[in-house]
Amino acid sequence: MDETESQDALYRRVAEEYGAALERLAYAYEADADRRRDLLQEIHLALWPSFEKFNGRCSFRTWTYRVAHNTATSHVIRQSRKGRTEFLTLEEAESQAGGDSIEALADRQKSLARLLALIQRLEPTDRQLMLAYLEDMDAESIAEITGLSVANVWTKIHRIKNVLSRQFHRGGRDAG
Amino acid sequence: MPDDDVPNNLKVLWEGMNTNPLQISPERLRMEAEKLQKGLRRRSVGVRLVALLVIAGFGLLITHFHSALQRVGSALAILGGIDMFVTQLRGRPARVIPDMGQTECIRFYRAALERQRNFHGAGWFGWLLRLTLPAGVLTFCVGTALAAPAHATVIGLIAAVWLIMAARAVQLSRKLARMFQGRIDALDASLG
Repeated sequence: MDETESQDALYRRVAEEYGAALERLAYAYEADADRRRDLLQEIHLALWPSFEKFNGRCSFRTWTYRVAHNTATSHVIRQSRKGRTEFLTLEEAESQAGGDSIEALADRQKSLARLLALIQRLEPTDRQLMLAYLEDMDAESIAEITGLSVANVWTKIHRIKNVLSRQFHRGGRDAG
Repeated sequence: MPDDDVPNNLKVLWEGMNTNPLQISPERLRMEAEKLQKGLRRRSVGVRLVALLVIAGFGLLITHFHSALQRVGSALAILGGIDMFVTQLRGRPARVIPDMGQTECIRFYRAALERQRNFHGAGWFGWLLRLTLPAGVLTFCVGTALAAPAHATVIGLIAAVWLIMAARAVQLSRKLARMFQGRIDALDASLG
């Protein structure tokens, strides 16, 4: 297999194995449907040439997520230059009360829309952590992708759980 | 439902999101990559061409006009054009960031923020260089208006529009620089 072939093969692998996850990632970074389609395409266009330099020093998944998150982060920065984005830190999200009742979780579309609305407002670094957590990654993998220490990842994940519980539970307790 | 189940249920909800995964053919990827490269090259050539035109144009004007203000203005504009050309040669910030797969997300984010901050909020010398071209054109306009009072109104109008545009650009740029610095500070604070 020559270099170009392996680059194509790696891209095909990424599209098959991580296609859905990459689309979810694009959802987390862009609310507008047209811009989201462009972002997803941009991620794919960044992945393919990146495989030319893939040397196996980190896992294939780590590489894929780094390229995807970094491309999406560039997109977010471009949008913020146009004044389209204001970020929320995890701490700020934590302090915000949830609005809907616990029954809302049963309404999948409503819950998903609310979850996306929360993620799309987070700082890129917190967004990356929230996404990795939702994609069920372990702390070591998240640390490798983001560059945070494992201990820091644990602390942040604890905070993410708090944010999610508050956002999707407090209304229920209050209502009850 | 116990509290601890909420995040887990959300994980299930998240992974069950309706998706329609994208797959681009290798031929189209190659085509798009080439198109992107061509676009970048065309833009670079365009900016360099404009810079060369500024240098050549004001180079001609400096020999043609003899008023001191016009000559000073032309000289400043030429300096501005040279700065524009050199900046383009050195590569615009945040255009292409290499090795995305080798760079951890936090390092990448911080570097991207720094690049944006530096681009929008250059130090005093950077601003001096950036303002050289508009200041040169403005000085040239004032010199021309003084030398040819009959056209003073039109030239004054052009100079005023030019001044307003330059002032607005500086104001916006400084605002963006402050915003990006704020993000860097927030990121550093969140990392401890």
